[in-house]
Amino acid sequence: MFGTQITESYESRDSIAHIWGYRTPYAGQGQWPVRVDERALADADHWVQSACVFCSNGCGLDIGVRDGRMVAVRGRARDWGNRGRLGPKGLHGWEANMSPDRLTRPLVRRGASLREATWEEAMSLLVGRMQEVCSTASSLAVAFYVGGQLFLEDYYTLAVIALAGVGTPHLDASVRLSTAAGAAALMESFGSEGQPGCYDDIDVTDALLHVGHNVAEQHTVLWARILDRRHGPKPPRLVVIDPRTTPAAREADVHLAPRPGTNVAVLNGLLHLVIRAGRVDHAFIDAHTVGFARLKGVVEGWPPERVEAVSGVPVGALRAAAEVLGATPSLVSTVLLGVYQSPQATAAAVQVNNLHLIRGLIGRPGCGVLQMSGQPAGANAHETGCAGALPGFRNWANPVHVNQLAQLWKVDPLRIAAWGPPTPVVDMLRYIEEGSLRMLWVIGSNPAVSLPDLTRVRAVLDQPGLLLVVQDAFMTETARYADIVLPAALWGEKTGTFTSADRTVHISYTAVSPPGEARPDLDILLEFAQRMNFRNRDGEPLIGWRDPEGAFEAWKACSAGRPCDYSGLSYARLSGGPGIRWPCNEQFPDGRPRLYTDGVFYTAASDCESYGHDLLTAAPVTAAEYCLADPRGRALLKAADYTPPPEQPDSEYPLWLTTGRVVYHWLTRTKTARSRELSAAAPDAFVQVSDEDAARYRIADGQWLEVRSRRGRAVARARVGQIEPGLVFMPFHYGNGDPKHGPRAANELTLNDWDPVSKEPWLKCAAVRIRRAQEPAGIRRLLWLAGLRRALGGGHILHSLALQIARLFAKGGGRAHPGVPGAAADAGAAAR
Amino acid sequence: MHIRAYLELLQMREQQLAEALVALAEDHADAPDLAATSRRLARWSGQHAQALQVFVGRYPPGEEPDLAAAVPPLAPARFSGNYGLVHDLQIVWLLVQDVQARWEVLRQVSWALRDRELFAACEELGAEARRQAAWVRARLAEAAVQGIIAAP
Repeated sequence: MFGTQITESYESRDSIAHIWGYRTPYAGQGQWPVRVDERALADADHWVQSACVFCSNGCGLDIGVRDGRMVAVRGRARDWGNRGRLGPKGLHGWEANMSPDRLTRPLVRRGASLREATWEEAMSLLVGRMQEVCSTASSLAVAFYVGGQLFLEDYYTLAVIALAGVGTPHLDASVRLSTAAGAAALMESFGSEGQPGCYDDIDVTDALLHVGHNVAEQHTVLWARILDRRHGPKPPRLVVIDPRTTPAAREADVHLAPRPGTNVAVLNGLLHLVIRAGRVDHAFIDAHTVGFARLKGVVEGWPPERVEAVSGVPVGALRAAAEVLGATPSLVSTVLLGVYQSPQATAAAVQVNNLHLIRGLIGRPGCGVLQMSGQPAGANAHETGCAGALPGFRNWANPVHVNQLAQLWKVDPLRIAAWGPPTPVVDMLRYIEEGSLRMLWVIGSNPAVSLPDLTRVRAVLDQPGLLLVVQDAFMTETARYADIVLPAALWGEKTGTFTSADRTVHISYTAVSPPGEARPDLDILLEFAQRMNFRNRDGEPLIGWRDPEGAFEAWKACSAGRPCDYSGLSYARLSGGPGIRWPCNEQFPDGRPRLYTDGVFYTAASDCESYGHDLLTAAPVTAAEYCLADPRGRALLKAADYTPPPEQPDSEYPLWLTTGRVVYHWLTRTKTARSRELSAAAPDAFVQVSDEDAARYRIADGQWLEVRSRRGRAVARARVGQIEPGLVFMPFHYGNGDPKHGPRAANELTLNDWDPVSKEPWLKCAAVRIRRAQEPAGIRRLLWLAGLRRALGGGHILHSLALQIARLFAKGGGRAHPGVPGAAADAGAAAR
Repeated sequence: MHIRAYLELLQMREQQLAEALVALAEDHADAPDLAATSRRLARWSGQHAQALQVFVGRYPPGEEPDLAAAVPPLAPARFSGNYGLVHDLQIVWLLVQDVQARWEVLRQVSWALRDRELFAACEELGAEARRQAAWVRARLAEAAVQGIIAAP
């Protein structure tokens, strides 16, 4: 559709009805056919290079601009991640940028309400309070929590500000809730983060394994690629491990549906069968790994019968899966939240790495592990040091690595907050509760919906004595608790880079100006640093850059020589063409498609990002212990035995709850709820129950249900079928802000507990009970008023009046607390 | 021979460690991963104490005075918050060091006695004691700075 003159709203395909579009079958690397997806509200007068921010696939796209407004998006045919394709969220979600409820001016709390303020007032207040807190209570009273959708330049700047400017270890990113366990698993097995494989491996592989990865709904374009392989010559076999019958599970040759919390048992069972059948690459194991004997010993205890007893996966299905995985000459595995948000998250993700290692299926075409990231820039949060490691995948426990940063930043090593592991958000909440953390700056994230056990989270955010700063594009549930709100620019309104789940770096240019006085995150951070007057040991500004490209150049210097080496990249090289993978340096000037081609991993004591952990107790291996048995480049085969989750269904709460996503929404719906089509396609939360449980509880499809756990309750309509008996599912996108509803957020129910290694919360399993419920009062009133309108034959004005009245009723006469169900406009973490 | 007395002292210390770990979990339930692992490690110590019973019965009582009274009990302070956590972890650390050292000593002793079963138990359970010690040290490192500098 290039060059086509569009005179009205145009869509190259109906992505709502046909999520993955028509098939373009193929086989072979570089052979995936082009299919350019496009959606336009008007003719564009020019196009600006960018990439999609609605998952971590990194689909190159161009933003169409007319008269200073975004009017279109079009997939970039040259980009290998999508070859022109875009998913439903990519085609529709950008409309949120033009939403009339964008934050356009800073807000400052005066008493019970937030009032508009100038930037000068807001920044003076922020800096004054920060200095006051640091001087009276130390920098340990300050924390930063950032979303997974900023740009690399924002993250790196924030990391330097937090670690060497303010000097606090309390810096974490919302990737802690999504992919921390994947990152941890890469470190445990390979010594460092960095996906071993890339998407090109899908083009040539003989088999695919998706573990807890709802790929068809999360990474729609990646799934289109897989479907195209499945429809082409020599289609790859497909094994899916997921407790629900997702679209990917329906397509699979073998689908294993384990009970929640039993991933380690199932994966150990698969390893058991593969090893028993002798389908291991002994030469690879001997030359490139350590730990096989112990792994073999542990999985020996997991014959298929025991796996069935624990997980519910039938012996025959497990054997069928092991047959595919043991026989295939090449394999691509992807792992995501079904593993990462479950108990034993890191231990389970490591077993997928182990499968590839014992079969020698790594470091060559068609063989890759993708410990997926979910958010578009989640990988950058990890790389730059905002999510648990030091910048450049450096090891906080290695003094040499800390000194490298000290030299780069020209500061005393003791100034860097690296005396212990960085603080995960789950511990920040505890510190706020006890009063030792007094200032929290949340950037582009909505913890009031996304964290588990929301009753507690609301109490923490509302805690007296906490100064909460929220930097976002919308008045989110979290922003309602803020003392200072800073309006931020969104994607398309600022320039920067971000990196997909297969290490491909894209540039995204400013297409339009942000609304009102909203500013790019980087500008806000740079002004903060300047006002705080952070200096290096030579008296120069600690942050020496003034714009995105300057930040990128600074990051290149920080990453040089590390696994995530960006030193060969530049804004010029990223402009015009497709994305480029890291490492990109003198040795790999065009980027490196896959790591570990020589079987040498980043495990040498001097290189590694982490010395690893005891997978059961999470005790870190000490430097001395690690150096004593330095793997020197061999991968680590780490075994883990299954341990049952602490909360399991019982007579009081007899069902498992698991949570996940629907294809039309992204995270807490901040953007996607503001697209008419996406919102209409999935307007509300639901509770999915099996046919058997529906019969048992006498539930009909569409019946209102109350789900209750030991933490809280949620109400939503039933959706019957496509799930195992004993299990109920709720999507995690929906917050409680919609005044028509009672509580409907899945995280009202989830456990306040986490994987000890990665500190990733267990959002995927909780014990609940269900019962039939009345429809929420707000909905009832709405329906009654709609009936009244019909009876009166009223037009639009009367309908609007009816809605206004209904909202007033639903609010129950105003709110006592911000963010409490029945109050706030529904919103969520802003996708940048 | 004082083997039986030494075994009984280790048993007593494992019991104390188990109790201290349970107390740690109870007093710091706001850190659920800490509490869960602490309970798990408490079960290990309980199992260790039980496993030692077989060997206690195997060796005759000696002539030594009652040393149990001479080994002072170590109890957590049992107060919440991060400063309390640091203190409690410090007590547990002392206990686990004691237990770990005793398993090492017992391993040597069992070798000298050619008691294969006891030797195997020392290898296996001593390794678990080392994992317990590593965990306590790690949690101390995580909690110390916030607990000592910033906690109220």
